[in-house]
Amino acid sequence: MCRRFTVPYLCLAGFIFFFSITSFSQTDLSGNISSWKTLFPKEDVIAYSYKETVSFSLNEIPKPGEGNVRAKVINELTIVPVKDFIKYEDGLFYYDEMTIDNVKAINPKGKDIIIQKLCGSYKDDDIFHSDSKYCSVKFPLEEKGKSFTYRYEENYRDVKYLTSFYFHSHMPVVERIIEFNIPSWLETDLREFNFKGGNIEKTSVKEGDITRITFTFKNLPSFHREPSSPNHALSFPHIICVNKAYTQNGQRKILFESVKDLYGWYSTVCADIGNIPGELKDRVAGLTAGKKTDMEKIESIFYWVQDNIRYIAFENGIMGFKPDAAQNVLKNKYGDCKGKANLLKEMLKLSGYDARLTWIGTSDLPYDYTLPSLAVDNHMICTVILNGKKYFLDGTEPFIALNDYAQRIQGKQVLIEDGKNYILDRIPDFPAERNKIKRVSRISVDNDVLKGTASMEYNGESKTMLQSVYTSMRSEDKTTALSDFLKRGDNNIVVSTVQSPEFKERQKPITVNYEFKANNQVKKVANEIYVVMDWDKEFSGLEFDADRKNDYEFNYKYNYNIQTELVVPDGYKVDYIPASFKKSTPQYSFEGSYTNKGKSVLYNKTIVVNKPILLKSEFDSWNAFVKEINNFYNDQVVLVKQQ
Amino acid sequence: MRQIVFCCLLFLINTAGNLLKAQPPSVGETIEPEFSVVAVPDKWSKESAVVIGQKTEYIFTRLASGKKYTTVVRILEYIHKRIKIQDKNAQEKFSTFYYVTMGKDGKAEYRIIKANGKRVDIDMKNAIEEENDIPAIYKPIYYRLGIKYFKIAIPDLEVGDIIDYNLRSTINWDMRENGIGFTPFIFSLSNTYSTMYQQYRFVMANGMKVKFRGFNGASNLKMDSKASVFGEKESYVAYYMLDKDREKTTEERWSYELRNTPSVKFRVIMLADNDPDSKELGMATVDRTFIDIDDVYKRYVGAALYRTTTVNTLVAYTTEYIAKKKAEGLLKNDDDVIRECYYCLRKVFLEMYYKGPVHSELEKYMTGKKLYKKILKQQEKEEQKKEEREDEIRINNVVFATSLRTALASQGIQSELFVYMPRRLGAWRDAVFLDELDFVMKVKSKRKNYFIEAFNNFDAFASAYSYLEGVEGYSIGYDEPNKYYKTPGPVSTYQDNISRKDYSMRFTDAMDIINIERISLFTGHEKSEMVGIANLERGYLNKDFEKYYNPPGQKGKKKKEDEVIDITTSTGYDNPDREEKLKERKELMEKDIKKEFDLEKYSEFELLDNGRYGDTATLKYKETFSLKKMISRAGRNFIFDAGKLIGGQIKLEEKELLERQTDIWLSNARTIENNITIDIPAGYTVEGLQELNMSVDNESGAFISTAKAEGDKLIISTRKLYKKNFDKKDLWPNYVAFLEAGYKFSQAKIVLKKK
Repeated sequence: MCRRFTVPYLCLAGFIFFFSITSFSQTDLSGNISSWKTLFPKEDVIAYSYKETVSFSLNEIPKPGEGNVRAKVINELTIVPVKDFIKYEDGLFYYDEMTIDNVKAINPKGKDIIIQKLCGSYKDDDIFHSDSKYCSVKFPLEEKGKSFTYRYEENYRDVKYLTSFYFHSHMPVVERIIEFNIPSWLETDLREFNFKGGNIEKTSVKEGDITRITFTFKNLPSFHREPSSPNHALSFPHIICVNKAYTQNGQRKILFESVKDLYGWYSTVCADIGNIPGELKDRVAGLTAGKKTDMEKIESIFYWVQDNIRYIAFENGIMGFKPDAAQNVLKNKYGDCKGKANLLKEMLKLSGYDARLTWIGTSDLPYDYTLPSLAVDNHMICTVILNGKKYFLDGTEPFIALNDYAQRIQGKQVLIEDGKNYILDRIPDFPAERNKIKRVSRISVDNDVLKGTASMEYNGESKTMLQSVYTSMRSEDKTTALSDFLKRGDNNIVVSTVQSPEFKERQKPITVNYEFKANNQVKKVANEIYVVMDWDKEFSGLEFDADRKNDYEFNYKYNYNIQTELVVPDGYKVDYIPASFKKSTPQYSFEGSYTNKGKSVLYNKTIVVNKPILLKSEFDSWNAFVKEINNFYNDQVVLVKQQ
Repeated sequence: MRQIVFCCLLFLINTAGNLLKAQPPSVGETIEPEFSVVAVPDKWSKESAVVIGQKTEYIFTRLASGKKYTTVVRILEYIHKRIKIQDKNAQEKFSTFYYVTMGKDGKAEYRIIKANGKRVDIDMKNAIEEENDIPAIYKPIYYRLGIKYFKIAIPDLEVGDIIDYNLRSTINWDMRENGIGFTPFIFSLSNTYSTMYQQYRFVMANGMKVKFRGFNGASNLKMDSKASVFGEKESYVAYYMLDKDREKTTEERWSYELRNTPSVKFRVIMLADNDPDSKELGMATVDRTFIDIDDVYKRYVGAALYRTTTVNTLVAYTTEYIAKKKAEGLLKNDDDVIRECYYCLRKVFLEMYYKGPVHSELEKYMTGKKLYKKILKQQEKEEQKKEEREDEIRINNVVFATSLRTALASQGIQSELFVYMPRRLGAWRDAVFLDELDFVMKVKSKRKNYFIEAFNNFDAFASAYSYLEGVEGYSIGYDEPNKYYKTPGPVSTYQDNISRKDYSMRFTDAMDIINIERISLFTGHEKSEMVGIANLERGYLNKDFEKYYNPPGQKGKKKKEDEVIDITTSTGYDNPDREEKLKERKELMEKDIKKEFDLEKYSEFELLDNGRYGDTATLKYKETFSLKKMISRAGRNFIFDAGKLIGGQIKLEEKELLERQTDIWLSNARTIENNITIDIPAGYTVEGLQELNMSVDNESGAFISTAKAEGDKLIISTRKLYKKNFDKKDLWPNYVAFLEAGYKFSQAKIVLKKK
C-alpha cells in the first residue's frame, strides 16, 4: 500500500470530531453514568453527542493548489467523564490539503479552558516522508458526569480531498450525527458502506437553497484496534462523499462524476512526471541481453526492480499521487509503489512492450471504480499487455513471480491507463491452493524421542513470506532463523542438517529438506508406546472470545497438506490409531486420518481456509470447528509390544 | 604513572615553550589510515556489516571576552564512521541515515565507496527534518532540547558498499547552567557490529581534566603529544584511546553488559572556577582516581535533611501515632518502632494522596527545593487542581529519606543513608561519577540492619529490592558530622524470595477439563509482579487507615518552616470505582493464567493476605478455574500433561547448552515451588511416574521433584531453586543441569490407564 489515503486520512475520519452551529449547554449528566457503565463497560469517557456538520462554499478565485469548491467540517462533541478528574486525550490529523482550526474546549461552567496541544509530523513506519501531521490534544476533565464541549474545524481547500466519514470514534458515543448541508449548486452523492445492521437513521430536509442530509447513529461502542483486525473500511459503517459537479455562473462543471473524471485527474497529475527514458537504456539492455523470450525479458526487468529498488515512500503534497521520474528511481535505487510502477513501465516500454500505469485499491478497501473518489484506490502497479493478455506487475511485492499475484491485490479491480481513455479490468483471484504448504516427513521412535526427515514445500504467500523474512535476517543469524522457522516455535523440536533452499527460481516452490528430533512426543509405559504424530496442531489455539470487537483477518488463504509416516519399531505392532475426521464448509475445511499400514502408520492432514476474513458473525461456527479439530488432535497412536 | 606523565609534560612544555599564545587545534584534521581500508577480515566476511573504523573526537576550549574567560566552554565534536554493508539487512538498516549537527558550523558529510572503488558523495541538501524520535544509535551524546534531527534516504546503496560519514558540531556549554562536569560517557566497546578500529579522543584546554577508567580489559587513555599544542599561557593537551579488532556484542541471558564486556567511563571536567585572575589554570590532565568518598558525602548527606511541608506532615502524624502506641505498650523494641514508623508513614502518605493534597506529579517528580517551592506557589495561585488517583504511587526518595530519618530520630533511633553503586554499573571500586550512585535508608537495630527504600503502595517493610542485591556502598550517619563508613548492601536468600502454588485438581467426567483450586503464595522479590494486581481494588487502604488511625490532634505548628498540612483522617476509604476494579482484577488474573495455560473458565479470586504488613509480608490468594487441552486420548487411556502445571520453564537454546561467555548475574536468589494434588478418576490407574521424579542439586541451583500415587490421589511436588544472585561463568554447567531438568519436567506426561 503506498498512497496518501491510507492510514492518516482514514484515521482522521475515524477519530476526529466535528462542530455544531448551536452552542451546547453544559449539563450535569451524572444520572446517566450507571446506565453508560452497563452499556459501555471499561470506558472512562463517553461522548454524549458527537456531531459533524459539513458545508460547502465556492471559491471564486482559487489560488494555486485550491479547488473551485471548498469544504468545511465543523465538529462538536459533548464529552462526559465517567471517572473523576481524568485527562481527555485526542489525536487530530491534518495535511497540506486540510487544516485544523479553532480547536476549543469549554468546561462545565461555560469557560474556555487551556488545551495542551503538541503537533508534529505523523510517523508511519511505511512512509519515509509525508505531509501528514498529527496534533496530540489534552485537557483535564472534572468530576464524573460533568460535561465538556470540545470543538474544532477541518477546512478542505479542494473538495476532492473530502472523502470518508466514519461513525465510530475512540470513545463510545451516545448520539452520533453526520450532517451534510448541500447547496443547490453542488451535486453530491453520499455513498453508504457497511450500513447493514447498523441501525443508522437517514433524513433529508430541504431548507431554502440547502438540502440537509442527516445520518444518526445511537449508542456506538468505541473503536479499538485488535491484533489481526481487517482495515476498518471493510467492516465499519461509513459514508464516502462524492462531489460530482457544481454549477457556477450558470455553467455546470464536473468534479468526480464518474471514473472517467477520476482517471482524467490522475492523467493530468501523471502527465508531467518528466521521465527521461534514455537514462534507463543501459540498464534495460543489460537486463534483457541474452534473454530470448518475451516472458524472460519481462521477468528479468520485473525481478530486478523487485530486488534492487528499495521501498521508500514519499507522500508530501501531490507526490502522494504522482510517481517520481523513472530515471530518479533508477539512480536512487529507491521509490514507492508509484515510482516502482512508473520505472517498470518505462523500462518495459524501452524493451518494446506495451506497459501502462495502473491504479488499484488493495484488499484493505471495499470499493471498486463505480466509486469516483480519491478514496477508491491506494496503490499503483504496472500492467503489461502481451499478445492480448494482461500481466500485472507489482514492484513492491518482494519475490513474487510474474503472473502470480499477492493476496492483497487478488480479485481487485484495476484502472489501467489508455491514453485519453482507460481500461477497467480485474486481477485474477486464486484459491488457497496457491499458498499450499506441503510437508512430507518420515519419523521413527528412538528411545524416548522421535527422529525424522522432512521435506517442506512453500508456495504463494507462504513462499514469499519465508523468502522475505529469510532475506531480511542478518547473515550470521540466517541459519538459526531458518531452523527456528521450521521448528515453528516448538522448543521440543531440534532441527539439523538443513539443506539451504533455492530461492532464485520465482516460478517454482521453495523446498526445504531437513532432519529433526522431536522430544517429549513419545511416552513409554510397560509394553506400550504412546506417540504424538502431529505436534504442530495448526489452528488449535485460534478461538475467539466473546470480547473480541473486530472481524479477524488471516495472513492469507491457507492450504496445509501434511503427510507423516511413522515407522513401527521392530517387535511392536499398532494397537490403536485415532479415528479419521472430516469437516468441510465453503470457507474452511479439515480432513485428517491415520492409516495402519502394518509396518508403519500414515498420517494425512489437509486444512484449507478459503476466505481471508472471518466475520464476527462467523466466530461461533469457527470456534465449534476448532473444538472439533482439537478433539481430533487430542488423540494419539498406541503401539504395543508383540507377544 | 602520574610522575611519568608529569615529566613528559615538562619536556613538552620546554620544547614548545616558544609558543606563547597557542592556537587550539581543530577536529577531524587527521584521518587515520585505518579509515582507508576496504577489506574486512575473513572471520567477519559472513557478518551483516562490519565497522571498519569509528572515531569520536572532542575539543574543549574556553571562550574569552577581552582578557577574561567567560563561563562558556566550547566543545567541538567530530564523529567519523566507516561501515561495510555485507547483506540486505544492513543495506536496509543503513538506507536511511539520521543525524544531528549542532552549532552554526555543524556539518554532515556522507559518501559511499562502491565495490569498484568509486566514491559517491551524497548531497546532504536532500535531507529533510525529522520531528519524530530517531533510532538511539544516531542520537548525539550532547543532546539538547530543541535539537533538529535530519534524515536522508541514501540513494544507490548496495550490498558490498562502504558507507563513510562524518558529523561536525559545535556546542557551547555554559557552566552556570550546566555545571562544570560535561556529559559523562559510559559505554561498552563491543558494538552491534564487529569493529576493526575505534578511537576516542579529547583535546582539553587548561584547567580541565578527564576522569577516565577502563574496565574488563578496555585499553587505557594515552596522551598524544604530537596532537597537543603547548603555549606559555594556554595549552591544549590531547588524549586518546584506541581499540582494535573488537567482536560484536554477544547477547546472553542474565548478563550485565558493563560488567561483562570491555567498557569505559569518562567525563571531562573543568577544574577551576571561571575567574582566571584568582586561580592558576594548569594544563589538562587525566584523572584515574577512584570516586572520592568526601565528595560522595557532600553530595548525598543532604538527601535525608530536606524539610518540606509534606515531610513535616508525614513526621508529625507518625510521631504522634508512635508515641501513642508506645504509651499503650504495643511497641516493645526498636524493631517494632522502626517497622511501625515505616507503615505509619506509608499510611499518612497514601491518605494524603488518595484523600488530600499530595499530587502524584509533585511527589513523584519533585527533585529540588526550588522546583518544589515553585509548584507550591503555582498551586496557591490556581484553584486546587484535582487529578485522577493512580493505582500505584511511589513516594519521592528524598521526602522519604528525610521523613523516616526524622521520625525515627524523634524516637531516639538513628538512621543512615546508604549510598551504593547499582549492580548493573559495577562494584563500588568501578564508580567514577557521583551520578552513577543511588541511595536507600539503612536503619540498625540490635537484631539486624534494615535497608529501606522509598515505598509505594505495596512495598512491605524492609522488603527486598533486586537492584540492591549484593551492591557495595557507604553508609552516611547523621548523629555526628562527617560520619561515613563502607558497608555491603543486603543479599537475600532463596528462603526469602518464594513463589509457591498449591493445586487441588479434579478431572471432569468427560475427561476433557480439569477443575482447579489454587492457592498462590509469594514472599520477597517474588511478590512484586502480582501484588499490585491482587490489591487493585484498594481494599488495603481501609486496613491501613483503620490500623494506623490517629484522631486529629495538635499537629499544626505555627512556625512556617514546620508547617503541617491538616489531613481529613478517618478509618475508612470509600473507593468509588471498587466494583470496576474488582472486575478488572479478575480479568488481569485471568489473563495471567492464560499466559501459561489454555484456560477454560476463570471462576473465583479471593485475596487471603495482601502482602503489605509485617517483617516477612506474604501475598496469598486463592483462585478457582478450569483448564483445557491438558489431556489427550490414547485408545482407552488418557495422557495427562502433568508437567505443564508448573508453568513455562526456561528452555535453553542450543548454543546456551554448549557454552557461556560471560559471568552470570541473576536478579536474586529464589525458590519456586509447586504442590499438586490430583484426584485419580475412578476406574483408572496412574502410570509413567518415573520421569516425574528428578533430583538435580548443585551449588548454583536445584530442581527436585517427586510424584507418587497415594490411594486415589496423585501427589506431585516440585522445587526449583536459584541459590545465588551471581556466579562465575565456569559454573554455567550447574545452571544447564537444573534448568534443563525443570524444562524436561514441564514436558512430562503421565498415563491414566483404564483398569
